[in-house]
Amino acid sequence: MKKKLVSILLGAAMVVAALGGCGSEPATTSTEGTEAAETDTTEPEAEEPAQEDAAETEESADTETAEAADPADVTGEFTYWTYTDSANNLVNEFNKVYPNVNINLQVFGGDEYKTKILTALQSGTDVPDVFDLEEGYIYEFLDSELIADLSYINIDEIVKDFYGFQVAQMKDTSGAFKCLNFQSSPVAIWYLKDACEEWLGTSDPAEISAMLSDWDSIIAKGEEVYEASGGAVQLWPNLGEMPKVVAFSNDPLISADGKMTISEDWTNLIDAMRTMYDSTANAELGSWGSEWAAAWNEGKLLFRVMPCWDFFTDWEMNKGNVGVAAPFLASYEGATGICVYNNSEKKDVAGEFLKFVASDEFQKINLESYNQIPASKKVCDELAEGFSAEDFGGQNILATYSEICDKIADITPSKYTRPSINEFGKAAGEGVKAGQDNDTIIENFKSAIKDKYPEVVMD
Amino acid sequence: MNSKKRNKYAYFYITPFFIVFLIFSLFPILYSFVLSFCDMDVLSGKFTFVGMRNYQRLFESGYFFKSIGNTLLIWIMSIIPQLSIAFVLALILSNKWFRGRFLLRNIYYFPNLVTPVTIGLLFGAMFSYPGGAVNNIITMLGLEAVDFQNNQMLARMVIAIAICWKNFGFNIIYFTAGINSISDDVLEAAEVDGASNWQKITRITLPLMRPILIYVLVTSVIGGLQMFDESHLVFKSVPGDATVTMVKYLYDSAFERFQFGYAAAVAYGIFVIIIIASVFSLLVTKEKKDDYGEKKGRKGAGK
Repeated sequence: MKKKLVSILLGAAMVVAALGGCGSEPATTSTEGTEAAETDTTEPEAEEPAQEDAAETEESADTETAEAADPADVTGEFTYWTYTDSANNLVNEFNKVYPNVNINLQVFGGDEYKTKILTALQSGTDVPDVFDLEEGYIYEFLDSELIADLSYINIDEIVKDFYGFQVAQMKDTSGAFKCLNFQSSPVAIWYLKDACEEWLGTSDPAEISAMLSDWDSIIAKGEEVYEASGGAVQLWPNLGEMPKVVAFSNDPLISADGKMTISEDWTNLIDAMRTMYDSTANAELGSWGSEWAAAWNEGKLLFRVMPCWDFFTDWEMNKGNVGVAAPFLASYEGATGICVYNNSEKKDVAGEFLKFVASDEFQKINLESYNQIPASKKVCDELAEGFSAEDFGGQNILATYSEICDKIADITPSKYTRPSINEFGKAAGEGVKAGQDNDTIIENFKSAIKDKYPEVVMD
Repeated sequence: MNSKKRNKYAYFYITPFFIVFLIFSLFPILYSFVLSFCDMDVLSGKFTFVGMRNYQRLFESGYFFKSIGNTLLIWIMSIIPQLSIAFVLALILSNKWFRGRFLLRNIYYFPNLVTPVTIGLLFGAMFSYPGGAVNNIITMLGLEAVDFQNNQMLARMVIAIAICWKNFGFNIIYFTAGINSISDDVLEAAEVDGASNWQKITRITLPLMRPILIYVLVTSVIGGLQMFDESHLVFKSVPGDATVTMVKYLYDSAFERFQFGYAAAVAYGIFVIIIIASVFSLLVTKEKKDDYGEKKGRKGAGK
């Protein structure tokens, strides 16, 4: 009998131990079962401006009242998932203004994040109230009803001063606002001032931009530099960074409803890539590689095409020596959208958080304290006057980035937009290196898209 | 207590395994089989039955068949040196006169403890162009630096080297166990009969290690055809998708493009290929029978 009991207990213990991994992770802070998420709206505000739409007024009444109330009176808590450490800045700044809102921030690195958020949303368990999605895959998600339509926080009004391209990025295919992009990531040409002084005769961003007015002038200048330096210095990093310049200036290769149209701008890009490849301007150092970063930091490579965030500058070596210039076409890369879970019981307080990060106040802090470019054109224009960045030798980088942001087309991306740009760049780069003509390159591009997205209709 | 009663307790002991197997193995296998006939909405997880469409797409996909070719090429480039080096080193390390064999066996095993991600990044940095460690040595020798990433075969070769480096120590352990299991009497008898070292290896060691060889070969086929980490991480992008393996293709379909139904069909495609490869390797290593229907090498055994 004893043996039987022991065997049963052992068996049960093994089952429990084996299934232990199935349990949900213990939340670092308890948010379930509390009513703390409700926004405190006790202070009345009689002098709110009248809304144009009565229904809208009713819908957003709670939010407005909360807005008008002292932020310190707003209480609650919510869970926020992200893939970037910089979210700590948002939370810290938010808590300075809203000290009684507790945010359970969880940062997940690498590919793990995408899978984790996907699994949570699919299963509907342990779903964060607020979560970040990266530009590379956000448009696979945005059409879902699981992501809240941000009209409940009167998003139109909140982002009315944002750049048009930012507003366009926040929408799903039906035009509903599904995420908040609170900072801009325009693509610029990064350079070292001393290297450009030596080889281009100037480190002034406007003069450098003027020198690089199209691909032909970039290639010609690159060949001059190569010759003058005896082959020691090259101007352009690689073919892969050319599509980055044009990404959101050319018409999308595939529309949201899955129709492919390859405009002349894209075929011209292939021609430009071919000329670049045949020239001495091209260093052909793979982006984000160690050689690419080292060559640029040592002044052997003059330019890199990067968004306003950059992990590859050796600031110890080059603090004050870095400059950014506007390319001849405008684009962005690596944007982050903040979304709210539609079934969250804490949408109100989550909405307060979104409103805060979209506010002029935070947009200014985010620039001044964390070097992030505001999404708000109004804030950019306001701060651009007399702005100077120490790391960039006093350059008014905000003026440069404002110039780029003003030119970025207001395109609402779809799930095809970024992958098709990447695929086109890959097909063009490989084709040019292999000596293929444009027709072959385009056929290869179509074939790759057909394999990945068979539903795409091609002309 | 009779034996029948005792047998009942055995079921309790094996129950945990079967519960875990049902939940974590059998259920996902059946779930993905059903999924392979459906399209799945990314977030809601709703299935839409599409019949054989995913399989039709799979058979029409030149990229999938290319990924099979890439996988086989990289696997062959890695498995031949891997098993050869492991076998030779196992022979050397099995000699009792060889001092430091325990230390060396451990050292050779160390790469197997390194995570695939680390190996991927390490080899990517070592073989980068033009200033990776390997290219620095090449240029020091007065030769021109080699762009491994932009040459399809060289890129595959680098990945094969990475896999070989990681796994050869693991196979040394198996081979050493196989060699040590051979009775000294047999080898001594051969020596008395005047057999050379080469003859002892080819006529005694290798035939008697057949079960170990089959095991290593079959597990290498299964593991090799599932290669992913190294091909995913050593080089970010290689011309013509030359290093996209079958599992990388599956991963991209599922987690880059969120086409879970199609990815499930790809998984079943890979499953079929691994079965074919495993059966093939079993057939290749199967003991041949002589004219009398006896297995070669076992003639007279048991008589």
